[in-house]
Amino acid sequence: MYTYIAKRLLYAIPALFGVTILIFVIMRVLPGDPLGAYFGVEEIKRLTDAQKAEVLNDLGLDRPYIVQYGSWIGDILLRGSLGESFFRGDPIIRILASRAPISAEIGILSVLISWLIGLPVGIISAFRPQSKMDSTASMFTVLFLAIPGFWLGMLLVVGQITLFGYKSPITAVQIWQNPWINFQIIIGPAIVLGLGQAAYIARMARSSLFEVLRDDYVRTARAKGLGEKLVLVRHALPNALLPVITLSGVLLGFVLGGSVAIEQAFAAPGLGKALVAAAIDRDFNVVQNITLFYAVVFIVVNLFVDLLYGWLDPRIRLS
Amino acid sequence: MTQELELPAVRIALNKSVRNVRRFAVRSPFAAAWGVVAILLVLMAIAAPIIAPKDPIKSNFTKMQAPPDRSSLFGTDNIGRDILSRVIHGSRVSLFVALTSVLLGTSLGAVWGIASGYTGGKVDLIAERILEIIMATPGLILAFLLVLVLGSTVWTIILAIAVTRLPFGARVIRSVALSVREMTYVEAARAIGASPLRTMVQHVAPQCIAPFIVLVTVHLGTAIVIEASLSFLGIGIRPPTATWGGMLGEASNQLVPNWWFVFFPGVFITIAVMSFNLVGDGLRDILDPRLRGTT
Repeated sequence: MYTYIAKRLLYAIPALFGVTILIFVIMRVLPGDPLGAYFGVEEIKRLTDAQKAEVLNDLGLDRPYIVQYGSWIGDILLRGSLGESFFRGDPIIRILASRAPISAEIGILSVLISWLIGLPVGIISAFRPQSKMDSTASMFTVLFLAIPGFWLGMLLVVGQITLFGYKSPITAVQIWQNPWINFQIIIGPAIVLGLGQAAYIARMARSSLFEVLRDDYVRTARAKGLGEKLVLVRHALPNALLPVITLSGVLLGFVLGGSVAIEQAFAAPGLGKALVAAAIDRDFNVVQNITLFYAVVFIVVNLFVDLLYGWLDPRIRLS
Repeated sequence: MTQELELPAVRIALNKSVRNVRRFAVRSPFAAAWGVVAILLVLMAIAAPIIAPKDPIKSNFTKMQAPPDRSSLFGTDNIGRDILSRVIHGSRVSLFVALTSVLLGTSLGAVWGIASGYTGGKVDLIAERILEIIMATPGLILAFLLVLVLGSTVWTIILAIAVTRLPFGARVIRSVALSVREMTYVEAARAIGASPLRTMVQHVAPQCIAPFIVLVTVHLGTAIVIEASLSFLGIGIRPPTATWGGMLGEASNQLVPNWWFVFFPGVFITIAVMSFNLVGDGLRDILDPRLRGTT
């Protein structure tokens, strides 16, 4: 197990550095003009070359790329600093501290919801293939695989306002400050995000369990007189769940990306909302670091899922 | 003379494709039915100016925020534009961007995958690491970043979505290339002295056509959602051009959006994504069952 952990960790480190390079290249090296984006197309025409040079110097954008990259990474690793917002001068770390917990809650709750809905649906479908239940379930699966989460979110918001005159809170309130308000912020996005994942989970659970239920060892368990419940819980599920766990890890990209649009739909004050707001303000430093944060979370959680998978399934860590 | 030679060839090709379509319809009627929906959507996009009852951009200030009625079936928006016409025209951008970006991304991915899988060794190792890095950034966020930096035009959006689709194409095609490389007919080609490039193009690439077609259809839905999300987040194709995501974005700028602003564009996104997903699933089951669960 230890060699497996060490191997996975070694894989994750180059990926982390690779992502910093990818983000840096996109933000600083690609032909997009940082000043043009910063000032807007109209205003940039009014600036003299000297003024442009001064702004570039202020922002540290006139240094060689390698120096810019080095100071970005150096600040993060040595001083734990992500720099400041171009416009407001807020430390970016403070934006993360107030917004990331809300997005994390939304993400975690959505995964829980997806399992609570997807797994039972998948199990019922696998036990009664081609039944009415199964076809109803697969109809909903197909539907929720296609519905864009942010649209479902907007429909919920419009429904809440017109039917109940209710709008979920839009200022960041943490769970330790006021759990009830915090819950109202996260529940809508979490349900929408959870339903989208539940469709994938149900589909995977069905096909994976469907195969396992036809394995010899399950037939043996049934032959020795075990009840269906015990066969499912003791024998079939542990093996059938492995691919579902992996899928849940793979869906993390869906959760992180999807939450950006869904938070926007609910006006939920999470990290995604902060990212979009910074993008509209052309606050590139904030955009760059929030994106990095998303990528790091993505890699670290995937690493965790890999480790969990290796711990659950000896075949993986020994191969 | 040439006509006589060409006609049978064309007829044979036509017969073959008709037979293939019929086989598809018989073997997965459900997917084929949704295939008809997908074709109708594409036709709607092509014929948008003819079908749309009104101008999608012109405002009618005497009839703003009107709920659906007989003269405007889907209602009118904030500044009196006919929502039905905007939805019909919106399909043009959505479908064009999705189709082009997936074709571009999967083609680049296929070239990448064939080159890396066939060459093997260090090249393959490095190529794989680069893909891992691209995949380590959630697709929507990567596309968002690229469009933000490159500016919002149809082609930058296509490029951005293509980049997010590239790793999927490369992964799948690479695995095909890896297995084809070991086959004896490829070895024979090498033995008679064919160059690596010739072997890749003449012998490996044709084996990748089936997975390529499946990949493109399966990823179309995702591309539609990414394009709609980008427009919704305010960095997609610029207004007043109608796009499904952009209509939703405009609606969300209001304090209390009317339900018909939100409902209809989303229904069309859902139908489009669903039809391409189901056609993709059906094609995959027929053309390349090995791909099950990989996309």
